[in-house]
Amino acid sequence: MKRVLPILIVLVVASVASGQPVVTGGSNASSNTVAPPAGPETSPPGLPQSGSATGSNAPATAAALGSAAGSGAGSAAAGPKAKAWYDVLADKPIEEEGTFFMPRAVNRVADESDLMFYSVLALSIFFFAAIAICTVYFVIKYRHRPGHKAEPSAAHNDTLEITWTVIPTLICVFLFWYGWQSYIRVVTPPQKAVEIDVLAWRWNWQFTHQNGVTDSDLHVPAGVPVRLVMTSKDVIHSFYAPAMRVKQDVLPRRFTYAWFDATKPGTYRLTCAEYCGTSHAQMACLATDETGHCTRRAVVVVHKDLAEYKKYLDDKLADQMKLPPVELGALLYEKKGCNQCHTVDGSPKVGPSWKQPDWGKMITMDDGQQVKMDENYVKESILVPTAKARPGFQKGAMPSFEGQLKDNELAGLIAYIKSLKQ
Amino acid sequence: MSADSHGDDHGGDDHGHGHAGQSRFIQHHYDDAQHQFDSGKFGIWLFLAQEVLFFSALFVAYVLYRVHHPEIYSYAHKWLDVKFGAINTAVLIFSSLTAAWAVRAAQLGQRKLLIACLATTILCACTFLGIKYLEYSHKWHEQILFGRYFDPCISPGGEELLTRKDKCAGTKSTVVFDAAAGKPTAGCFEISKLDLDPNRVGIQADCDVQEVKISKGADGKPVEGASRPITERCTDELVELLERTEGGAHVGDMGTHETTKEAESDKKVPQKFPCWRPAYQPAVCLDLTDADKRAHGVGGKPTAGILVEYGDEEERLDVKIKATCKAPAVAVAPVDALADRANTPAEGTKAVEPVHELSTHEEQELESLGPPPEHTNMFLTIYFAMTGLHGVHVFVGILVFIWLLYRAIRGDFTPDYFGPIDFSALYWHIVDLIWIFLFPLLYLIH
Amino acid sequence: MATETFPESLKTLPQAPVSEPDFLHITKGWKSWAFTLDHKRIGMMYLFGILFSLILGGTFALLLRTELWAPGKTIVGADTYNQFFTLHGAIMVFLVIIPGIPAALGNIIMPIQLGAPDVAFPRLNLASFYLWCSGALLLVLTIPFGGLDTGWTLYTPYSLETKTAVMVATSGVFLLGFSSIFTGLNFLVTIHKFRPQGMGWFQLPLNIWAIYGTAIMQVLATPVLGITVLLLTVERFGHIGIFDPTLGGDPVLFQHFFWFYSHPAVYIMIIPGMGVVSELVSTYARKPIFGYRFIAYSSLSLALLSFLVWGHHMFVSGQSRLANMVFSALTFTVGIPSAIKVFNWVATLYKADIRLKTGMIYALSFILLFTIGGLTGLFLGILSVDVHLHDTYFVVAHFHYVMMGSTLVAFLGALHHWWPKFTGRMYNEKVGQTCGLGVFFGFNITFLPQFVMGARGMPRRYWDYDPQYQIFHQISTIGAFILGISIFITVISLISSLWTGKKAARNPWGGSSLEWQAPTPPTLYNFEKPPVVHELYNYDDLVEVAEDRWERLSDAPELQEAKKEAH
Repeated sequence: MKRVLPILIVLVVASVASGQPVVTGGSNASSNTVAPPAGPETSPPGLPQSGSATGSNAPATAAALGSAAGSGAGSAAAGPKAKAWYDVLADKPIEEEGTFFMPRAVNRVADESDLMFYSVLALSIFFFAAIAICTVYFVIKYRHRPGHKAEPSAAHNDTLEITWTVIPTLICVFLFWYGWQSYIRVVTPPQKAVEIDVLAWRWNWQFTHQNGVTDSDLHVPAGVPVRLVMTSKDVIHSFYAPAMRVKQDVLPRRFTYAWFDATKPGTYRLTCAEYCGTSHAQMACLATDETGHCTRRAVVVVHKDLAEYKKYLDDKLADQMKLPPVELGALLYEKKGCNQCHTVDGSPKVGPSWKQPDWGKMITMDDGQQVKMDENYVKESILVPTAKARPGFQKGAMPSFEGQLKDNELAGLIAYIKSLKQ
Repeated sequence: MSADSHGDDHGGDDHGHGHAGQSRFIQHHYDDAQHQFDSGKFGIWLFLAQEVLFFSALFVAYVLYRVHHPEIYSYAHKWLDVKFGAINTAVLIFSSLTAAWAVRAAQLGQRKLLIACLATTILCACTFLGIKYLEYSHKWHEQILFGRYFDPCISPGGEELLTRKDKCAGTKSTVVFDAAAGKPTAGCFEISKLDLDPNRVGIQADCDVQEVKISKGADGKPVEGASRPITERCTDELVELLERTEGGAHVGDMGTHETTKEAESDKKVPQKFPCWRPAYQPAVCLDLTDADKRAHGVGGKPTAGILVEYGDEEERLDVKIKATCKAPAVAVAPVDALADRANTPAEGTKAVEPVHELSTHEEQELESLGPPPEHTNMFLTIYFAMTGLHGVHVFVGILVFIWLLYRAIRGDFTPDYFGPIDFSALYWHIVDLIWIFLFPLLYLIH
Repeated sequence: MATETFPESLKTLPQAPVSEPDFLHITKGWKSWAFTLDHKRIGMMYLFGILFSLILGGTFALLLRTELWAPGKTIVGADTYNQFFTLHGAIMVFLVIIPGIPAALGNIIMPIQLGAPDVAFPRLNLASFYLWCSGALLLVLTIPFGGLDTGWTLYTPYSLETKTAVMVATSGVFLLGFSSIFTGLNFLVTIHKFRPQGMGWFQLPLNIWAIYGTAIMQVLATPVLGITVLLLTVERFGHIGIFDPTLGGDPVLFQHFFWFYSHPAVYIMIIPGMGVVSELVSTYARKPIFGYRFIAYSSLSLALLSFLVWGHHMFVSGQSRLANMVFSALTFTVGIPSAIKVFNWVATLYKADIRLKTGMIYALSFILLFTIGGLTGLFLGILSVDVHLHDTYFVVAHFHYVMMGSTLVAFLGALHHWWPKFTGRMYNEKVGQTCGLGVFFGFNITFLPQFVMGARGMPRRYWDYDPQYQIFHQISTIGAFILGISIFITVISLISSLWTGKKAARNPWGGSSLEWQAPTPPTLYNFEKPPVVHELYNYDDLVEVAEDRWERLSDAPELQEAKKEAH
């Protein structure tokens, strides 16, 4: 074995030399070349990122108000004409800056875990290179060829065995300890934090801010800790914001928590990491193209400071109140994730389409019961989905929205559905 | 099962030639009888280890739910009959003895004793299952079942479970008070009809609640007009909605005047839902319709009736809520068992508050009289899963022992060859052992 | 061994005649197979079932890789895609990898290698096989009965709510579990009670040590899976509420139960692979295995430690921090025995005489792929890093390196290594070697990009993805096809060798363990006369008398003379 050890040492040096550039040098050649997802309705980029100065009066909303005075204008009326400043922010391309391996962390407490990642990466490359080079070298050197024979050597060597037991043990102890230390920092929120309620269901996120504003994009301030209080309405989901290095399962009938402290304003990815059924890949998808690819997902919007975040809260609240019912309904259709299961063009999806020709008429339920398709029926279907179902659809496949819709929101949804009747 | 695997000798392409001078049940690939026996014994021990792991998940679930919800266990164990459980424990322990005895009889070649022991074991096992059948069928009848099917009639006195058919028929539960006993004895709650809110445990009486229109008469005094029955029970959501539409129809936490008004003309305003709720515990039923009865109640106190949350007669806006409760089946004295914890209400008084802080014991007692805590079904789930799986094992044991009995009568077993009896007896012991854990864990909770 | 018929010439030594017919020809007709108690026939039936399942599972893999060629819909919609990855996972895990080495190759080889006439309980063995068949049938029947879209992990409450055929699948898994338990039980008893004279615990080949460790886990971990899927099945139709949050049950409890089995299951998959590779490396390198006892002990310690680390699958599922800490620490302990094994295999190659037969190509692939699989496990054991990587493609790549890159590669290596022994035919070496390289490179092309995708935040089980990941998905898909075609050609080549392959010698690779003393193919009770236990992994006494034919010098005095003359 005396001949092996020097080789090992040489390999160590060689792989360190080759391993390091991957870690550090790779960061320059980041993968920014990939085109950002561009939604069909995305406003032309170029609006200043901190557009709060002009956005406070929400002129977009006022315009929408004027145009949609007459309800029942048909499905063409769905969706506001112009977007509020905060939605424009959310539509901005996602920040993908980072190394070849990972997007840059924008969470103040995540640097340590990133350091762990890159250290273990270097360590792994070193060990793999050592083992691979040894193996390949031995295979070439000791390959069978005429006249070549195996030479006798010791079949065991306790010193060597103990060495390669103790070294991995020490490495593992270190990795565990630092991993544990950094984990504790990542999961322990500070005393003071902006608290946001998260409700997940198939297949949408709903973020409820402290003033009651709800949204499917997560708006947070930069430089202030944000604590998420999360629960699910149906199955298990998992809140995952890769740039924040935050992941936490969201469980039904139980609260779980996550927190982060965003360091850089921008728009970041938000995904569901626990498999939850058909549209698991498209949780909170606001727009899709013809292949079904989601072009505008819900995102994490990091505002530049607390003031801008507060402005978002105020403007959003004002906008939510000002919208006429049909507009509000059309907005909620997307924001509450109704679009995941219902269409507005008459074609059935997981649930029946909202565009039904039989408004005001008697319809037959799956159990043969005759019901009048009116406001009461729609309201019951939203609040108590287990009560009735149209033929061909499953009773209670939809979660109840009891307690999650304000009166005007409920009225807005009903008005919107009614407006689709033609 | 491994015990079966080296039993009789037909089938397969086994050569069938036994080892010279040994039982014909020694298989070809074993060196000798001892080798076969040792292999079988090691196999059955591994099988038993597997069985322990198989049950272990259920024990873990038991512990977990008990740690998280002790109240469920202390409430629900009363449905299990210790008497039945104890008899079953004794029966199983005795059958384990006869099973062990059978092994010895086989080793000594005492064929008659072996047959007797095996037969006794089978008999005991059948007795065990018979008693389990009684327990299960009773619970089935009372709908004291697992998960979604948990919807029992619960006697408020806790003495006797009344049959669902007789006492829980209809939509409303009835409670009957017994003067002599001083507590409610008959009638039952229906879980599905009760609010599962610990702050609102109540005994429901069979009440008829009416909403009466009030208008000003000529003399300025209110005149009762048309009435309609209120069938809906108050839930938190309804109350909230009621309050919101009542107090804030025009303020509205969201939306401005104009838009909501516009919407109002288009859609229905959230309706006022008159509703009623049962009285706070402890409650006494008042019979409000029969004034005479009220006046002549024993000791001049009200005998029966109900307290609804807003009082017996609550005027709100232009309506009045009137609760009319049926007299209990047995017109009786005020309910002492409950009255000692509360003021006996005077006519028309509002919900009764307890006069003193209840001790823990009293609270428990009170709780055990009330409806079950949330998710009590989990206890029944655990109970049925554990005893059910154990029952399946007992049933399999019966089949195995019948097979052994058949072979014993045929005379297969000799002092040279008694492995199957030994292995089956070991299996039977583990089944017995599991029951010995189940009995205290499920029946003897306090 | 039969020494009396050795002629003088080394090159044209005829085969030693075997007095009994071999196990393939001793009886005829389908009944002689369907009701056989012979471990080799049962093993071969397992083998063909497993190869069929492998092709089925592989087809689903290629379908889902094709779907991921582009974001959005490529060939199928989201629901169908969800069924693809579920069926791929369930079939590969439950029907291919778990029974692959223990039930199929273990059944055929382990008793011979041990020097035993059969397993301890042949009837139980046949019963296990039929349990496997019924379980497999049920699992495959989910496809006509509405499919399965829960992921192979069957997480509640999703598996309680989905409309697909969960009950059919769970019943199948229940039966497969008991098949596995009985196989493990059978092997444990066999290894304990059927060792021949002179075969002490430390004269056991490492393959048997590995199967022993595996069997312990099969017996002790699988029952928990059994009760879990039983409860899930009852929950589906009986609504007992134990995992249903709406009835007060705990869905996370299901995860605990599931991983209490499924983590050891990972070791049920990998440890036999390690055993096989120990055999292969030593035989083809003509060197005693380095650090025999350390490898043996590390198999056992892996088996025991595997019971204590299930919680690392649940670092972000709301487990307490204390539990996370304990599970993280225990997870790292698993890395140590794995590292010891790798170092020992590499050290075995030192001063060796390495023959790059197909078996060796797979064994060397195993060492490299397992190293990557093991090292990437370190990332996932570190709590803070796992938070980011959990449930991403990083995890997908990691466990494919362990479960497929290691276990399936070891299975293919073992299949080539022992194929001549139990079929009596040589496979086509060129095709074998080429496909072996195809598997190695195809595999790496498929799964290396997935590490990067995962670290960049691409969650697993996604039908649709951001365009930035597309290039990685496309590389991965190309690799998957190279891999799939290589495996398909391998299977075809092996099966066609049954008719076209040349007859195999008693000891084609110069193996030192007992199975190479048995006739090729073995007789009904494996050996014509009790085998002689030689020193383990000692190749000094073995000489290659012709291509793919080795004989023991000590068994053949004529051979010794001939050799002396040659010198």
